[in-house]
Amino acid sequence: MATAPPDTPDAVDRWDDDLVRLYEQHYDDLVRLAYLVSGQADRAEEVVQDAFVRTQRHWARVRDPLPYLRTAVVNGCRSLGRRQVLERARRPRPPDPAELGADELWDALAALTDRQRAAVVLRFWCDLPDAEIATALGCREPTVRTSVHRALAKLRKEIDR
Amino acid sequence: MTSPPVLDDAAFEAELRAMLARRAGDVRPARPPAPAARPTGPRATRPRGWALLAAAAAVVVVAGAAIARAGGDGADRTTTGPSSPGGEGVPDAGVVWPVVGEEALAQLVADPGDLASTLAAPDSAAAAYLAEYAPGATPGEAVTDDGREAVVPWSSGDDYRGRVELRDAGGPAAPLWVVAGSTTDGLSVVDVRAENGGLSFAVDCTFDLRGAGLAIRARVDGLDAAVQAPGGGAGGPLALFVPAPGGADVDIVVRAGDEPYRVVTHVGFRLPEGAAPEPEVTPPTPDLAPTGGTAPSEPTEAAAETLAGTYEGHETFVRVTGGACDLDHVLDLTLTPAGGEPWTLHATYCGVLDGEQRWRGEGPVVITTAAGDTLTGWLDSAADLPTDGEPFTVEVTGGTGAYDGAGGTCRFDNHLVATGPGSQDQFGDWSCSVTP
Repeated sequence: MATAPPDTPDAVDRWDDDLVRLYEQHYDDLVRLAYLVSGQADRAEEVVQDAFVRTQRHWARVRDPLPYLRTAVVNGCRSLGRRQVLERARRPRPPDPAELGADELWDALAALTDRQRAAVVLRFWCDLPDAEIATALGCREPTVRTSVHRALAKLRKEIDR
Repeated sequence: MTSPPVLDDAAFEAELRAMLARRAGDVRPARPPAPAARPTGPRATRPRGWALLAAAAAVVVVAGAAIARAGGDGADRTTTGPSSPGGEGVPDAGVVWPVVGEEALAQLVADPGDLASTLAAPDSAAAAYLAEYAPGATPGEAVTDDGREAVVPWSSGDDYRGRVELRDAGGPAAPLWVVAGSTTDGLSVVDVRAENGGLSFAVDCTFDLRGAGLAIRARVDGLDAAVQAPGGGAGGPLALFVPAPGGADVDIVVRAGDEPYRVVTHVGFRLPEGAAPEPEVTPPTPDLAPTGGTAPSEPTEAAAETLAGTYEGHETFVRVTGGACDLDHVLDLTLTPAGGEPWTLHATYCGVLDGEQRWRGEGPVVITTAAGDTLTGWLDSAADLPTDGEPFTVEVTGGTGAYDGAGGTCRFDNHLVATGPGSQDQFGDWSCSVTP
């Protein structure tokens, strides 16, 4: 559902200092997270800004802001849905990969399911424990382990082709 | 020709980490200063029409107090457009609809370059919407009275009909049609109330779904939310509940059909601010939280309670694309405890296919006892395909009434018989070990 951001001065004033600090400290990394999960550099900032707007709206009741933001970002990436799939399919292969397997791995990552891709990024780029990944993905810890295991198997299979 | 070196697991993971770190450097975020991030962010760089679209969408949502306060009992209630008698056309002011515009429609158009032309006419905007939400429906020709609102009728074969309601958020000079909702003849969302920290509503279906079942999804402020089935509804509207804080926008999509979806009723509501005691918002998870609205039963001793019996029921599933799930499942079972009155189990959950051979399903589940108490938890199942049933488990994580704060595990041996495409009967034995 499209919801208006709180752009009015009153709403803007409600930004808490802690939220501003979170914004300043984590915005860049959350944008990178959004990019790695979605594969869409041009939409990553938009996803993160939407996540902050949602968090700001519920700020008084948010207990763990960073996990909340991370979840909102992952959900935002998932909601890119069909467009993401189509844009992945159109993504050109960069010429002359700088390192053996590097770009093949990136392309293979794009072939994973949304959940697998997010699990891989949260595990191997964010270095999050299973419990926090489970929170971000809205699933249980065993599902996280299964997703990562299957994702790695699929990535290796793609690379070994 | 040489073969690439074979990496061991540790080396492969190291390579993966290095690649992600390298790729993370591809983006150079231009963080606008807080809190003025939104007005100066990427949205501001979109064509002017998008800004108008966003603004208009907001007006539509805010202008209608979705749930008009009813005096006396403190509850807020309304019925939605599609449930109103003769609810033809665009809903009156005062009814909030889920505006599928600024973000959602962008996802439905394959080529971003086509977006403007797609949204320039109600027919193409409705077609894009239906292609995503009810691919089995065929759109008709748009009807518009004043050029600002339009209705696009749709049909699925000879059986089902409905309408997509649209509004022009851009204006005559640069029309941008957004979907305001969808109705289905005979499939309505009714008895909507803001209460107990969320939105309660019922789904009323008056036509024969021929075993296809209903798939019901809810989003709270754009995030997927668990739909609870507090019980009741046998032979009548299906009573449901979505936890949500005051002021939240709740978006309800009810779909049905074999494969793909053939009908869609899509409505939205904004909860009044501070309308009810609100649950504390934690990082969103699919776990079901107790609603807090049921008067607790007498305290019980915290000793493990073992229950067992037989069950039978029906499940429907449909293939979906573009999301984290490959299949949407709806499972409804009747559990008969040994020597007791029947309970019910309802789960709307997500199925994932690994190739075509391995299926895994998981999602929130609600078990309602004969006394109306509930056990809430998480269903987990897996099977190699084809299958005639595999045991599955429900991890109990909470409940209401006598099972407030319950924990434990339920196990179901499982047998299934296919009754049609996306439709199967299920039966077997179950047992639960629960600590109230």
